[in-house]
Amino acid sequence: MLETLDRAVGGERLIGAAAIARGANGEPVLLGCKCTACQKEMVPPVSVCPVCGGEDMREAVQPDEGVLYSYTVVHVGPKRFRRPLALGYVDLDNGVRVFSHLEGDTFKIGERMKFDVAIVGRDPDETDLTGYVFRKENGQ
Amino acid sequence: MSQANIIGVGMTRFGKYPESHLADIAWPAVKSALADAGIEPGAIQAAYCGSALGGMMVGQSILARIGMTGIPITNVENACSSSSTALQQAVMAVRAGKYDTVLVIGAEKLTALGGGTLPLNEDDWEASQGMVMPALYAMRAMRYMHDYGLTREQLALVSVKNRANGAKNPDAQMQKPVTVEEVLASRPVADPFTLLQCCPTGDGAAAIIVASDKAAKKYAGKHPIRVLASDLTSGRFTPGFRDMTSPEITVRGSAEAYEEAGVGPQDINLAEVHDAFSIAELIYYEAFGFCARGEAGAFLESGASAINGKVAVNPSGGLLAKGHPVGATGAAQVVEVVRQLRGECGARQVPDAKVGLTHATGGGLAGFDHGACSIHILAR
Ligand SMILES: [Zn+2]
Repeated sequence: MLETLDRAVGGERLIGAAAIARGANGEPVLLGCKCTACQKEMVPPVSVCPVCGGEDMREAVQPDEGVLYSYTVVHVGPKRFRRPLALGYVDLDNGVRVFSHLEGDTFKIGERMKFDVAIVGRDPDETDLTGYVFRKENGQ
Repeated sequence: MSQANIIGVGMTRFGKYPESHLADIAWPAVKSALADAGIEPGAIQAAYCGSALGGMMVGQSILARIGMTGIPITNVENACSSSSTALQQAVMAVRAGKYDTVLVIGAEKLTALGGGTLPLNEDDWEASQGMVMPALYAMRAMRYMHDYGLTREQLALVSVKNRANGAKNPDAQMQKPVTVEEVLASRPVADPFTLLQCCPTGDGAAAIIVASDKAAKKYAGKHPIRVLASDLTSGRFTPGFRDMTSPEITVRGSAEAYEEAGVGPQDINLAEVHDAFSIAELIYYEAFGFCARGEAGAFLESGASAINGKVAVNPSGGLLAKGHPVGATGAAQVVEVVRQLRGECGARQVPDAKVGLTHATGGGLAGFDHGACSIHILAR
């Protein structure tokens, strides 16, 4: 069982905490799960498989890069997140699609993106929100 | 087994009624549907009421206003498909022979929420990270533009067409036509959408009287409208890669509805589809088979989906112009199709309309295209 980051780091307010864990070398990794019955993988980890109902779900560290499937820059929505807010779907090399905040100024469908952890917003009580993000592999 | 028929429709103009109770927004729609059918309130045997955000017992609170109490009332919540799901339940009950006369209501008061984007389930994985409905549709649009070369101008043209239609519909919330330039210059919401490519938030209600063949014969002074198909389905969870330019729930639902009705896309004269955002209408042209994959932009530009086109799409103005009080939308689509099939629509009348369809889909859930989809095919 991997240690998820919300338990590893004190004080920070984490968004998407269930999918952020500390990997073997201490760096954050994207955590998903794999169903032993239907072999489907998904993010975040869940205890029951939404595809087949199987209950034997194993933690599975996800690839830390993928390809941007689509994205948008949003000017509406929850005030706790940055505005404008870049959101996208990243297709990981293992067939899993991840919904994620994006870091960067401009984006292109089809470009390679890399996993990271960053500040994604701030609550009204001035506490920063930390979450997982994908950013361009080269540059930024 | 009896067929189901629609013998009366009515609606409260979509708009903003912040000072009114939801029941007071809705009861006039019920009275107008009863009057349209020529049926006395006491002859209604059951009611199904759709509302997504109206709270508990919306149906009872509406019918209590007008002395229609003591009948079985079923309240239905299915996001944007709430009142079309209520209709599907009513049709099933009539076909099964349980009732001869059933009232369907759709009612919603979004001004009670204080504006902004629709609240999604907070425990949803994507919603908890900032996903909102405009962002979901915007990502469909970005991918569609990437895959098929759709332009921002073509996207804006959906709003131009539907606002022009809405300007001819007294029940529409937005009454002013707009130009492509105005659409593109309105404030950004979620790239590529500007404000005029997003349906407005508002209140409203619609009501439908469903009747068995026997009751239709007795009451329908105007010719009854036949329900050829009444389809309901839910989204399929897909954790991996999926094509966001093709709405799997509507593709499945439309195939089921066409099969039940025994008609195909070439038979449809008009369609009220779920254009919550500009891209949605284009994607639904393809899902219903009105044009081939990737050709929706050209189909729209050619005028094929205009009121005088091959298939009139959203002659009422659609969600973009008529408005989208979530739970009321499906029933209001049926109101429009019934009026079109009867030839009552004046300046926005679709010539020689014989067969029409309605399509309400929605519900934002991580891993789904949408949560719910209900499609009806009606004929005169
Ligand atoms: Zn499984």
